[in-house]
Amino acid sequence: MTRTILTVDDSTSMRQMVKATLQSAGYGVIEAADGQEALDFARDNAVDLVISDVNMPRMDGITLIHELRTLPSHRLTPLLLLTTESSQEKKMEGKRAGATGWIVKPFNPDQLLATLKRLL
Amino acid sequence: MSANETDQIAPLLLLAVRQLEVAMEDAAAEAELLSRAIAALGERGVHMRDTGGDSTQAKALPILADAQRAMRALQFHDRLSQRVSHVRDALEKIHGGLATQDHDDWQKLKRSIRALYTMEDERRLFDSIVQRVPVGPEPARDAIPCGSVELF
Repeated sequence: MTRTILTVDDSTSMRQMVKATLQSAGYGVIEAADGQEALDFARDNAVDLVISDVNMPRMDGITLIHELRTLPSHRLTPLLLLTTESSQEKKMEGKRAGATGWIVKPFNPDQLLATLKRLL
Repeated sequence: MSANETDQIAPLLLLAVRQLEVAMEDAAAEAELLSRAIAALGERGVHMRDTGGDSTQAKALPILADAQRAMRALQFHDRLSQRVSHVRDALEKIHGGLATQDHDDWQKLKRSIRALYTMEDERRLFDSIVQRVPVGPEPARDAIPCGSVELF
């Protein structure tokens, strides 16, 4: 069965890069341009994993993680943050919100796929 | 700063903001085109790898490796555009605060500008130049933890 990953980023080119990487490994991909759009989708749809940017308009990635964790359907969904932020403070904020992991951009496609394999 | 100086500087700051916006819009459109082309190259490589015979599969591997390298390289556009947008937003804030004479208001403005800088090395530069805090030697370029994965 195809696993579906929700990828959230306000940069179209970043979404393209993540999508191409995931599709090359056979994953199904749903895209959202910000946290709010992702949350609206995730409320009514199951996904196997979420990869989200942190700094986005309307709703940032950490708020998205926090909101997703309040939904019973996403209590156990792996939620990864993919961001240019590398400060320990911000990372801890993500962890407290319920993130499963933190990846610093630019991501390495092989490393990203290996991480997904571990989580799914 | 005199009212006359403020009048001179304000439009120059607005001009800088607008110039940065135009540059970012231009770059985003080109980056999108490039990312589509790289994604298509990757897709072609995957198709060759998964459906071709031995020799086609062997030809697919360098194509896939090139597509991956290009993907990684293109992500620097995302970092660059974030940096530029932080500078643009900082200039906009300075424009908004130009007329202020109050020391506390300037301190507040500086704090709000620092908060715009979301990358560690940006904050480091801010502290070193604006706050004049000694921050030690700059980390080597390859010490920036790009691509690092931390599972909680």
